[in-house]
Amino acid sequence: MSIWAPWLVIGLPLAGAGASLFLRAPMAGWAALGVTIATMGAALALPWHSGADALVRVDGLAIVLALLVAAAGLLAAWRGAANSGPAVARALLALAALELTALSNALAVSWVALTAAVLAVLLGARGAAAWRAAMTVLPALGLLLFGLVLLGHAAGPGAGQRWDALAGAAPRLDPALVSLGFILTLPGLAACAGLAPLHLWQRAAGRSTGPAALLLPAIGAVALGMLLRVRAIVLAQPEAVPPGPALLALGLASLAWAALTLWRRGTRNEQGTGAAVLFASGLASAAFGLGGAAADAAGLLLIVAAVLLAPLATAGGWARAAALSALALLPPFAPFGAGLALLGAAMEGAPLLALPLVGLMAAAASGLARQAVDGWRTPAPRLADCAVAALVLALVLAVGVVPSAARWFAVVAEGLR
Amino acid sequence: MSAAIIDVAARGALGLAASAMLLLAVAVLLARRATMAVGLAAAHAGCLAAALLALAWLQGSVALLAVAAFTLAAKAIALPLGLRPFVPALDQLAATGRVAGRAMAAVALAGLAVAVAAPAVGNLAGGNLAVGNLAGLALAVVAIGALAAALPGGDSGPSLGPALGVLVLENGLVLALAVLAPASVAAPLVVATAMLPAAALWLLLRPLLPGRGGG
Repeated sequence: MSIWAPWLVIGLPLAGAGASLFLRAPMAGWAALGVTIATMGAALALPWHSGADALVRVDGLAIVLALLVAAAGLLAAWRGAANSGPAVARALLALAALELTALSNALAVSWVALTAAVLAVLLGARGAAAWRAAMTVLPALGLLLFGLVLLGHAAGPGAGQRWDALAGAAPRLDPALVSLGFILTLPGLAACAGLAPLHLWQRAAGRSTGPAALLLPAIGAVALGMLLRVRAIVLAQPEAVPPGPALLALGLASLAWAALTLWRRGTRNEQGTGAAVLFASGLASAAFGLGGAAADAAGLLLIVAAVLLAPLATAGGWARAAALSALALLPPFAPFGAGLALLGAAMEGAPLLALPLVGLMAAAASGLARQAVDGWRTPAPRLADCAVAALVLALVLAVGVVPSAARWFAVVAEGLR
Repeated sequence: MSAAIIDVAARGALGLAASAMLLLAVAVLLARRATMAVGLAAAHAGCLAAALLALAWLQGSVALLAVAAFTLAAKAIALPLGLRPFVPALDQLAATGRVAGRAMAAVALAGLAVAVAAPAVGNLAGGNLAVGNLAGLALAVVAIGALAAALPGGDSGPSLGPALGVLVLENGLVLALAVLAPASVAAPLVVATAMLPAAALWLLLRPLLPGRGGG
């Protein structure tokens, strides 16, 4: 494997973070925009550099996540172009850490990078809410590390430190240790992914200063990606505790919470946006809990849509209305097809579960549609934002309707087991 | 003194230090005064350093020896000295809550952690119950630290109890890493895990630092 491609994706924002510290606004913001465009370019080269070594791994899931994080970074840099050097540096540091989490092949490095990304966003927030957020996510991250250490210990000193080797050795691992490792990793990954009831820290972190707060959905996406890697290990050991019910429960709880938030009187715009991301994450978690290639592909599509559309929802006007409509599973955008695929998988795999799933989906989606209608009344986005919003919406539309894109997601989903 | 005698002494010291960590974790959870809580946390770190020293001898690992020295210097000595100027302000922020409820929750969590982790890890280590017991104790310390961090203070704002809970949790993680992970992985990770208590202490002390008042 050519080693430079993933390291370029990680190194560019890291170097940009260092350089931003010495720049003032708005120069720092423009420099960040340049760095994130270059990072996106490097990430686009990843599909031609598949492979793995001891530190990095470029497979289907890693490519999807790395591209998604790069796109989130680009949108965050666009929206936060007027910020000061330290705020921009924090966002670029979080971006580099997220790219490292997405591309890492070492369990320890994945944890360190995810923790660094969470802290880079969290330490920009202030007050009692930031404190409560920290006291939720820091213990969860501690439990995540303990779980990863147990999974690594189960495979022995060599194989246990790499995701690919651990997945290969999974059928021979001790089922009790794999089960305990999964149970301990679950709260940490659920908190980082923003799944209910551990998602409230994201609301406080969302008030963080600077563009770093716009990377919160990307943190959730990368955490769900890590959850998929852990799930693959647990599924390969038939005597271990099945991961499906726990993921389904987290997904349904998230859907219920999102529906309650959206139908509560006086829900503010940022709460509506947060609930939209919670809805998409909950659906993705439910899809991963159901299992099967179609459900996994639907879950990945929903994650991609949530990360791309969340910054649009903060833009206001028609951009907010269109983004929330897409996240409400309305046609013709990609989440519509993903929602249908998820329902099909539920009817096939767990018919009893289909009824509550449909009910919660309908409740949350109708609440989101109501928010979308309200979105029309918010101030329209600037002209420059309109062009970016149109581009993102076209991308989310294309992912849903272009057959080769759907096939690619199906291939990635096949590689998850 | 022969190496065999030192081996036996190190094994005994390791078990004692890990057990003391569990007791001190409960004590930190129940402490009502900032001065006492900081002292208990320093003693907790001292016990971790002793456990790491014993493990360094038993595994012949220089990396673990360095980790033990770092733990002793940073957490058992420098941290309490660094916190001393803030103790008067922190004393008003110390955690509140029912001691009996906290104690029962801690004992239940510790029992559950040891009962689940010790046999699972011990079986894998070829019936080596010592490794299983140490992993169980480490998980119990982590669980109590997480409990201390998650319990809100008087006004749910920044308070010393949860911050020390994160410190205790991280000490448990370091013990688990030293016991379960290869030294080449454990040593750098120990430095990285310090991000967790460092972040908690930064958020706690930021409003008290000169020129950063209010939060």
